[in-house]
Amino acid sequence: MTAQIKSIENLINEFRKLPGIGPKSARRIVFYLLKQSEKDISEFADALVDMKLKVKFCKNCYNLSEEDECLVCKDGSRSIDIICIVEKASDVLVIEGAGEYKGLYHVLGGLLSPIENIGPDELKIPQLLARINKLNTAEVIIAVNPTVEGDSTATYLNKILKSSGVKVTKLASGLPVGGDIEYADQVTIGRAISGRREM
Amino acid sequence: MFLKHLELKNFRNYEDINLDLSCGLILFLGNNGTGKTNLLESIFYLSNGKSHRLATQNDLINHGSDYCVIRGIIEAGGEDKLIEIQLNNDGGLKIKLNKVFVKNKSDFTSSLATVIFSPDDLRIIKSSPFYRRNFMDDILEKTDKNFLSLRLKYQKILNQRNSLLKSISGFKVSSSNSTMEVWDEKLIETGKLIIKKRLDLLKLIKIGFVKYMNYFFEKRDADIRYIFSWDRFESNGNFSNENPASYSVIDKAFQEKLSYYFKKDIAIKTTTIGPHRDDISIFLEGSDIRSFGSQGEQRIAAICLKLVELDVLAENINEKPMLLLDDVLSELDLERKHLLLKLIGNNFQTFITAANFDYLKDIDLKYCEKFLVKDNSIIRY
Ligand SMILES: Nc1ncnc2c1ncn2[C@@H]1O[C@H](COP(=O)(O)OP(=O)(O)O)[C@@H](O)[C@H]1O
Ligand SMILES: [Mg+2]
Ligand SMILES: [Zn+2]
Repeated sequence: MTAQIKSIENLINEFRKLPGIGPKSARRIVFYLLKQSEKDISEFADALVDMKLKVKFCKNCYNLSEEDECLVCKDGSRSIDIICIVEKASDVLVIEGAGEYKGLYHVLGGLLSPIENIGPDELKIPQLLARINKLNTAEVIIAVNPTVEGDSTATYLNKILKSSGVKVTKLASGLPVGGDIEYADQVTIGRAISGRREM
Repeated sequence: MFLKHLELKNFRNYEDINLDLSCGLILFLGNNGTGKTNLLESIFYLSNGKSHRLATQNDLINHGSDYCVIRGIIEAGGEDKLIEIQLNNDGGLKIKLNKVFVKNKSDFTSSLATVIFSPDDLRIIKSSPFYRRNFMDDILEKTDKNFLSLRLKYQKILNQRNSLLKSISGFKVSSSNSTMEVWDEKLIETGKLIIKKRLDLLKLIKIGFVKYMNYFFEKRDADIRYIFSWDRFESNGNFSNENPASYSVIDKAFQEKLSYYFKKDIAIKTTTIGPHRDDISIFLEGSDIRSFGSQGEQRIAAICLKLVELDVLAENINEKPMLLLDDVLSELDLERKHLLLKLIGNNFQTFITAANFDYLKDIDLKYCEKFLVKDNSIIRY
């Protein structure tokens, strides 16, 4: 423990904070970076800061975007009478990857979880209701993972949306139980969307 | 099925144990505190993937070691299963079945069974409902492959509902309150499945229990009844023996009682309705054995419940489970001891612990393997 170099240890600790990175991988990455040219390293560091400065949330759907409106919202060819509700922005990417879905999105930013103090107001649910009203939405698809929190969020949304007359559907149960949208393949996602059922 | 070979490394008080075993009656003699129960605990772990004493993983690791290993060869269904389990003190767990790593404990626990009889079983009769629910749920976990995940799911929903109860204060109106209905719905949806599975099991348990009670005490009228959480509040502990619970109406009752006790739940900030608060009552000659039974009757009732567990598990895996009798013979009168040994006969591989030979007078020691447990080692005797 005598040969520790402070700046190296600092960077290792930064990498260890990232998901899926343990002490060994962190060390390997840092020693790899150490061999790179100063130019490469600057570009890497700039990319990190650039991302943080430029990326923000879409003002309509809370998807990630570099502008006020995200690419989906700006795309005039998409049907605006259907909204797909997802937990997080990365789920939008996965569903877009399947290429099946042509409507709008709404990113909740989490799931109902009293343990973490997350209620309807912490999610973008009031904003969702306002949007449905404004767009005169015909159908919402609830595309959250079938976990305890996901199921409860879906049930809650169904309850509050049913009375507004909008059609509420849920992904077909193509996803493995407790499975994560993030890890499902494109064919499975595509099937889950086209086979969606009314709740 | 039977355990042919057992090796322990750093398990509880044992640093290094290596035993070859036969299929009959096996005795472990040793003074109190020498590690007899620890030894049985390791055997129990090999087919159940957990401690019968509800010990945590770190409890099982020898103080001062980072890990422990339990390795055993169990002959079941005509073939040898080599089971190797390593527990690390950082929570890590590695399991190998026939030298191949497996992910889940259920890869070996679903085809094996060991039943332990111990003086602690008296808790099932005398102590809090927790032990009676656990008695049923442990059997269901072994016999129903969906039960564990159902139980975990219910617990998750319950924790969420309890958190929501805590966050609701009498003054503040928050939109979170409107989600209570949803958690109630999920609680009922999952809870009623647990109740249904328990009621089905209880039907089986009741038949066996009555049979064994009659075996130990001639012609005694015995009965078991499921007690819903709401029954516990509403009858002040005096449960009648009538109206056996039926689950056709559970949904409705569950919903009604959740609403009825909502104010109370808010006040004490926890959910008081649901299968996590259910119980069973055991009756002998029409009165609750918990309050009216003699110590001897309670002890035999506990043994009868374990004998039923044995039957249910045997039926499930289509094999004779292994039996562990931890200090139980010393607690029975002569007649009851004979009756128990007669039931067990030479049907099972049976491990018996005792502090001295006096308790074993009635066993023909010629046909047993005998070991002395002393100074953290086990010596053939
Ligand atoms: N993790 C552990 N490491 C070392 N010793 C332990 C551990 N857990 C329990 N023991 C020891 O085991 C002994 C109790 O063993 P036990 O099997 O209950 O005895 P008995 O023979 O009375 O059944 C105690 O002396 C206790 O200190
Ligand atoms: Mg003991
Ligand atoms: Zn958008």
